[in-house]
Amino acid sequence: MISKELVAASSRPLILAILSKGEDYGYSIIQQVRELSDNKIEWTEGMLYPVLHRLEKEGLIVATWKESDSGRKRKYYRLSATGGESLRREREQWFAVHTTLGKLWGRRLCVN
Amino acid sequence: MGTKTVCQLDDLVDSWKQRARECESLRSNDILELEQHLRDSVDSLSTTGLDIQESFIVALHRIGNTDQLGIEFNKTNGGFVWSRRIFWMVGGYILLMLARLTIDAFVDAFQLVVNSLGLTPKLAAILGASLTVAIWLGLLRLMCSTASGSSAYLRTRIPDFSRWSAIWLSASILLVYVVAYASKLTSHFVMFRSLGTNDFSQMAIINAYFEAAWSPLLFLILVLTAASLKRRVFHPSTA
Repeated sequence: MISKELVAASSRPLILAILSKGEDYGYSIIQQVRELSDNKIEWTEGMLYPVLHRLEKEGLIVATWKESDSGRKRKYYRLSATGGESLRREREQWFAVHTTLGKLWGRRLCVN
Repeated sequence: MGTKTVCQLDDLVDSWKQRARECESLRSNDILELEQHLRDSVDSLSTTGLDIQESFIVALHRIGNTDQLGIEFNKTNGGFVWSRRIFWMVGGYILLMLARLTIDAFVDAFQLVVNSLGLTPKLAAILGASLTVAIWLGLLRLMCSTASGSSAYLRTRIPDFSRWSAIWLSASILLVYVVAYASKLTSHFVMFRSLGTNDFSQMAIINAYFEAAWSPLLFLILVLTAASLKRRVFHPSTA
């Protein structure tokens, strides 16, 4: 299981990266993170929303309330132009950390 | 999902919403968003063989308890929390002014009826004063039980009214009373000691005129403040 600190630090790039694929809502974002990480990244689900709201306040994502197929009112989020730019910077930084650790530990450990 | 299980889920979600509303930093839109999350989670868990109650318990555990959520949401909703507090503080003072006027008018009418029944003025005055005290104590009791969470009377009748509203509302009334009476007592005592009787009464008359002109103006200012805060409290910008 990944430590709380690392989970918290990675929440922003993960959310931005998922939203870069298209509009989405909270529950679906959490499911995708769970699947993609093979259940290794576990969020206290309610904590996702304050992070989403903070990103919204910073102008990185835009939110709209819409009615879903099941007739429920849902809040959908999508990436803004500033958000795209922020994601690009985050990517560079995370790749820099990844590459450094890869050189220290050997390629295989980092890939797995 | 059958009608029975839908109703069962609605009841469980409603009781969670009641608890969430007690959390000061959660806005109505936040609760709605979290509610949808809970329902999505229950839908998905119930396909794994769990019944509605079990799915709801797991979903609730995953979403986190309302105290934890309150702390996290407080970091982003700080401005809103203070708008809501000030709204209920201002509201408390407006309600106090209205309650005083209404209770006074009611007690006057009561005394008029008592007088017309032929009771002595002394007895009428005692009955009137007792009625005033009884009404105020009743209101105080209602506010205390709402603030402690034991009474849901006001919470179910006034939108967005939680035990925190009662606490901030009562706090503002208490603050106004303590500050106003302390300053009034001190200034009157000092003036009474330093001014002659004529000067003191002349000043008291001017003060009374000023108060008569200022009170409606203050009431208007408070109503306008409450109205502007109401928009922030009931219709958050993220809606």
